[in-house]
Amino acid sequence: MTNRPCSEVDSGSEPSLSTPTRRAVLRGGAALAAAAGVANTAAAQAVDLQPAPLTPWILGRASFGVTPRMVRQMEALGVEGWIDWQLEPQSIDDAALDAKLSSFEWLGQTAAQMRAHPTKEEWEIAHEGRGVRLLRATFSERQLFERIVEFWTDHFNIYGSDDDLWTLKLVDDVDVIRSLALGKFRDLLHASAKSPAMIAYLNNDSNVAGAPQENYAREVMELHTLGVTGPYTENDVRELARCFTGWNFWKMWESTTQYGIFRFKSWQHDTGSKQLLGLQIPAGGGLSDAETVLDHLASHPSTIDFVTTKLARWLLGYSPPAATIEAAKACWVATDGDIKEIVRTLLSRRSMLEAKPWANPKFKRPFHWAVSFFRATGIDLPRSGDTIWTLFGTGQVPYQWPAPNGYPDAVGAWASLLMPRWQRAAHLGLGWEWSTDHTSADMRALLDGAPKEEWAQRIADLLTSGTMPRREVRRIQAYIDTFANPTDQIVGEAFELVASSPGFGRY
Amino acid sequence: MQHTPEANRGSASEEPQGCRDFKQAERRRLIEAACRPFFRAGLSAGKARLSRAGAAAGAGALSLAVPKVTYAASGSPTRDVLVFVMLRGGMDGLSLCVPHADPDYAWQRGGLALPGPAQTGGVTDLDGFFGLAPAASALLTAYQSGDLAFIQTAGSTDPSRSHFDAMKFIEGGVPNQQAASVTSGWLGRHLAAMPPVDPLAPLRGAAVDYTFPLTMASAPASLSIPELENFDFTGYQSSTSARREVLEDLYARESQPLKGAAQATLDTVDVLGSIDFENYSPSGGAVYPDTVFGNRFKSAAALIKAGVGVEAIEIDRGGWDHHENMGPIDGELAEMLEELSQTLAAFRADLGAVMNNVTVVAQSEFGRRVDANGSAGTDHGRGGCMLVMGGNVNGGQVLHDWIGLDPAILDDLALPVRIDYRDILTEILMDRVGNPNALALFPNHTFTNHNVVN
Repeated sequence: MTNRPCSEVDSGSEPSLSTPTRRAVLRGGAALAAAAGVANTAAAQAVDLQPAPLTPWILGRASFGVTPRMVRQMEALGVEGWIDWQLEPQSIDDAALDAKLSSFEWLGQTAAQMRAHPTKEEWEIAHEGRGVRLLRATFSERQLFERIVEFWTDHFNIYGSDDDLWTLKLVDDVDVIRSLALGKFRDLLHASAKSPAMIAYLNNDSNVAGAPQENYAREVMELHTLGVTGPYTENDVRELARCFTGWNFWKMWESTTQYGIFRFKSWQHDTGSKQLLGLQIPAGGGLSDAETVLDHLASHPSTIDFVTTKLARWLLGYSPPAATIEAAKACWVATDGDIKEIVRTLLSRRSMLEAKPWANPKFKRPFHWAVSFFRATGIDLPRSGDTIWTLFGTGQVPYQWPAPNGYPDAVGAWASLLMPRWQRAAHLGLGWEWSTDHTSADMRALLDGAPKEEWAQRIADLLTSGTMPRREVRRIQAYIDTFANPTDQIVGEAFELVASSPGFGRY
Repeated sequence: MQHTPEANRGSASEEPQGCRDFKQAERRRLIEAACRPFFRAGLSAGKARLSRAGAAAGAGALSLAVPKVTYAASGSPTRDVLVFVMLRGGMDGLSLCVPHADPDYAWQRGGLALPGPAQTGGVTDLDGFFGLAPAASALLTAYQSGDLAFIQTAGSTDPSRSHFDAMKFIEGGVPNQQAASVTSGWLGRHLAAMPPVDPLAPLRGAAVDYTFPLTMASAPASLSIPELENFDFTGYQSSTSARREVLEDLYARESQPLKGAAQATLDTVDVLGSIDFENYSPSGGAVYPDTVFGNRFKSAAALIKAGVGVEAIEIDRGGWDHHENMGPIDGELAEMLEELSQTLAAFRADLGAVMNNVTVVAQSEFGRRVDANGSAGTDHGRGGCMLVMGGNVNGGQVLHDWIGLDPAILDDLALPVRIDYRDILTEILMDRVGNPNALALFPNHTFTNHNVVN
């Protein structure tokens, strides 16, 4: 049984389902669960009745794209069983992804090792790193984990195409974001503050006693913790900058072997007393000055409100239900900011029923859109770096957002970029994509022999697991029906149109 | 996995030649586009290194299968086209329009101070007090011809030194408000309030970028178009119009903003497709910097000359957040000022007489602190420098309300904001862009006329 420290805040009457259709899905539940790597007993307990439309919508929010196989998983495990399973990512077998990642020999290396790569320059490794992000989002079985990684990647955004950042961001991804994505927020915040990539990106390495540099000090309060409306002043920014003086990392000219490791330069630290945020930092301190403030920030009510609300928007919708946010905030307090439990609270069946994703859909960001297409079609990405090149035009590529606020999570920021999606949809549908090896014959094979009259429905089911409105399916089928012969061109265009549709764009 | 592309690997060689050519050309185009440092400034090293990837990609020349027609410039419009440039990151206005005669300038700036007009490599005097940075010397002609004005001590009255808050207030046109309540931009509200110049124009506002700026939020018939020259349906041409009809139907019943964005996208395809951006040749000896920013202005010039009813264009340039190694003389900031200046100068030369119906406004979310920080850079400040350029600008002057750089009178160590950017925009919108209700675009603001345009 999964320990649920926040279960008490998820009590209350079960809201009634908005849809009358309930479908018993009991076939082979335990067997599926076993295949998915879950103990039979847990699965057997979790098997329950699921309303047909709810499953793909929840999966849509908890993954980079729903697939028919995932629907079967959730039907077997139940909503909460599936979420519990996903919240233990280490226990989920990811061998298929690991095999794809095995060719990236630098993965998991230190920045110093990457810089010493015998044949690849830093920018080449960085570009492969963007491709690794694409592969993980697309092929990992740990889909909820990858969605949370995406959230923190934006929350603690670091632009990855510059000087030290080429390699340091890749280290930050492994050591900070991925290591602590489901850990305690406090640990994540501390790790991010000490992450050489963050130190380089927001200039803490040039923040020294007598000449403070406030870039990171400001953003850590505005963007990472308290939020811009939080209770801090310009003076707090300056005092915090003083606390952070001396936070640095080993530079290449200091040590080629220690390069890229956190380093506290005590001789550059301002040892005077500091006063900020109601805290008194006595004179004579060192590393602990800023650590004390980070601790304070990590559990500050404004931080809890700001970060929880943002996470709720990520998972539940642009206007998440207030009651759910309150429950998640209570969970934060009860667990000292245990992200795993906060996510579990946000994704409970009850909170999903309140959030009603089917009635309040979100609009896929460009990267999500592309990944969800790859996931649904199973198109392989043998040259992921090349695929990244093709995604630049859509407006979103990993580690390429220049400002510290991360890629926006709002429909208004992306709605006017439909044409690049439609262009990519055509290339992918027709098998014209140069970065992959799939052909029009592969796209036809996905139809599974369905007659031409059913192509639109078949493709909609494959790509959206039933969330695409019937009206949209009918309109695309009407297009297919105007052609007498079922040529590869029509197959490709049918995929193009579904991928270009509003129904595939929302989740 | 639903299928195994590996099993079909052999079929690649059986692809029709046209398809392979297409893939090659597409690959080259995308890599070239992606390799440009469009997101961030100062990537000269990165750019040089990345361009090797582009070269390694190889591939033949891109040939256009479809001949394109070029629009003739239509009759003289009655309202200026407004080109808005958001310089994101906090441009250091003191390093562009330099107060060389202020007694506190040199010591406050220390190593970041530019030499005076009499010195080697010094600023070019503009009015006896301010001087133009050498890196921005390309702007001198426009200034001396009376087409360019600088507005020093300009900015937003909102005290926030957060990039994102400050941008939100500037673009929303509503300083001193709850950030969360800012949902539309001043340019968006302007376009929404005005009848189109050309009732049939599908595209009234264009943001030449990958994201849609808040400035234009809620604007009708407006889009972000990162590459004006590449805005068209791909796939089989024989079915383009039929596929397009499907998308039109699918998005017609969406809610906003998707519905409007889809409609604008579909309507814009024709009009952009009719302009030959690829072979566009600038006039007046104009040479645009071969950068993303420069090329975007070049495309914007082609768009304006085509006379297709575009009323507003936004072209942003990020990367001005110089907390360290600012380099106003020969470093990163100098490079960026050079690019900005050469781009604006080329744009003016290229447009020639058309510039009489164009007004360009460039501004940042805030200026930077007067004092240098410990890393040869500057932290977030307040007052900054706006640029206004056009055939009907009262140029050749530096507008300002200067009170000096004595730390005792500064706004928390930064140049105070003495001229409200809303005054400048209101005047341009009223007098050059023909909006009689421009005052309403900036609620709770008392307008002061600075006579920056005719």
